Amino acid sequence: MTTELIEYQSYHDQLHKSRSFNWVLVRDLLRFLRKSKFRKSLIVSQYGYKLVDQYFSKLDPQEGWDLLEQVIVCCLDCNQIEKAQTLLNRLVAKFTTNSVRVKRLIGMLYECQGLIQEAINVYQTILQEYPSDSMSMKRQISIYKSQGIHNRAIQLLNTYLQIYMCDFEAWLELASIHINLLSYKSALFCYEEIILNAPINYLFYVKYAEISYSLGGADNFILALKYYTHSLELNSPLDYPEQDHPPTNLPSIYGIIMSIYSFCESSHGGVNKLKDSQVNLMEWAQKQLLDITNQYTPDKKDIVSAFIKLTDIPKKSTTPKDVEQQQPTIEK
Amino acid sequence: MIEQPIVLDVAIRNWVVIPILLVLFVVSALKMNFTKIMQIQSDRKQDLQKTMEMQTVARTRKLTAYYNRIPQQGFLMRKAYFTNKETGILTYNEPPQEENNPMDALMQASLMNDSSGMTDMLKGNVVHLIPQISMMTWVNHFFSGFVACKLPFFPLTIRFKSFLQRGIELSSLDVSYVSSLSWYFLCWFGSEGINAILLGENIPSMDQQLFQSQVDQGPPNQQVPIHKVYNSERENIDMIRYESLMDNVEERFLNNLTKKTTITDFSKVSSPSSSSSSSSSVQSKNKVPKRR
Repeated sequence: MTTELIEYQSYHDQLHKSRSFNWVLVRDLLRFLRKSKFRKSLIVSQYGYKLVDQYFSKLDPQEGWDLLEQVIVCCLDCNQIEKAQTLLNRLVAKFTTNSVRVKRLIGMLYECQGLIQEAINVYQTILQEYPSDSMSMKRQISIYKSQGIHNRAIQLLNTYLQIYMCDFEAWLELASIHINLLSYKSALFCYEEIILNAPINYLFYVKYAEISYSLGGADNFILALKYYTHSLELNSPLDYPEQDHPPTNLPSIYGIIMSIYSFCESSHGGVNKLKDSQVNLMEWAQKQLLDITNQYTPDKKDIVSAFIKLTDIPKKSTTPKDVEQQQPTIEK
Repeated sequence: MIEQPIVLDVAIRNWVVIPILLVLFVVSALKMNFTKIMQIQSDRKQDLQKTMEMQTVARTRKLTAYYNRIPQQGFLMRKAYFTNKETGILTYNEPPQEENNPMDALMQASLMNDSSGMTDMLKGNVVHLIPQISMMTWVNHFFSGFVACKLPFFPLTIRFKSFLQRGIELSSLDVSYVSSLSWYFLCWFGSEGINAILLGENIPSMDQQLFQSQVDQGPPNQQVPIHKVYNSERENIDMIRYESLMDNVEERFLNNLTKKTTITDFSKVSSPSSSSSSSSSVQSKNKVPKRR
């Protein structure tokens, strides 16, 4: 990812350095953006429009039309409807409105103009002809989401996911809608699916733990704790001193402290039901939090230590053996 | 024996060597454009049913691989969804008349597997094979037995004789002489790169190929009927004995932490050999739950 960023940066610098319009450079940039899927709409709509407007004859014919499509989408992103309209007219003249890709662009233009119903109609006609056109489905879903019609969006996403069930970005979308509607149980299900699809991305474990914590209840606090801990395993706190950026695992550390604290406060939980390892983990997290604060933001130290004091748990009283048996486990 | 150079007629150069080269070039140019037309016409309509099946299989494979990362409840939910006897989506209704008539089953299998892939393959073969065969017969018919040219520079071993002098059965002829049929083959194999440059088969088309290869993912064996794949996946899921990765994650995490810090301490203080041996023993102990 970082190498791609560097590559983009070099393109960006070259563009700004060159005085005259360097069409080869712009073409390469657009090519690169298509491949890396970065969303740099403003720059594309600026330079790309000039490219397809004045240098179209120099482009490879096959690629030229792809470029045209790309520039149109970026113009729509930047609300430059007239530019998009003129370019789209050229596409329509070439491919007529029978082409699915042209139709989709027309739909997007309608969306941009605020003609929602027309846009939906366009997408529906596409879907009648090509029922597996995932792009049109996604556009429809995003329309409903932007309109705030969450029920319909969820419904459509569900049908979409019945077909494309490995598209974890769609699952992410569904999860975010569910979180908006506070239905955390469904969001958890979505995140389980995401974890199955991307099992080594620690961010999703953090997110899963956050949702589980939000659900509340002693069992869910422990579940959250476990997932926070696992995210730390994947994003090890021992690695960061060698990296040149601040640690990225603070959410997990705060999460561990909060979930253990909440577990002790909840009605079914309590300090005595904690495992020894969990208590140790709490101590470690508190220490780690203080260390990080000292290292990176010493001025926030008061706040952090106040937080730790507030969320501190009392010492365990009973012998650990009894506790082990009472321990509420999530796997019943 | 002193080799006497054979003098090749100039007419052979003008009427055999150069025409073969030219015709090959023209044919490959035509072929390229023809495949392009074919590609445009064969817009593969992605079948909804089929995408769904492919995605289902991919999803079940992910579930069997990473089930230990989700809680038991979630796993059981999915297991029920996939493998339930009545409603599970992996219980595919097998075609009933499969045993009665093998031809029927065959037909059904071919129908299920959507013949567009086959026709595409056929088209590709037609485009490549027909010109090849016709050219070969053309060369064979008109120029059989010609010694077309002589390879310069270096002598070749006798083994190349069958390769370079196809169509001429003369044991005394030097190996560096090339027969017309072999000249055709040489040009055919050698011209691909040059054609690619001359006919402008450049980056965008490569992009397209890449794109297509990304789209066409799926279960490796298209020929296996889907209910068999489903059955094996169902068995795979049924066989899983659930075991969570999260069972004692806290302990494992803390152990790993202390282990790593002690290793770094060790390596600072003592010799590397002792630290490595101790660390490997600890590691092997700790890795066991992680793997499963």
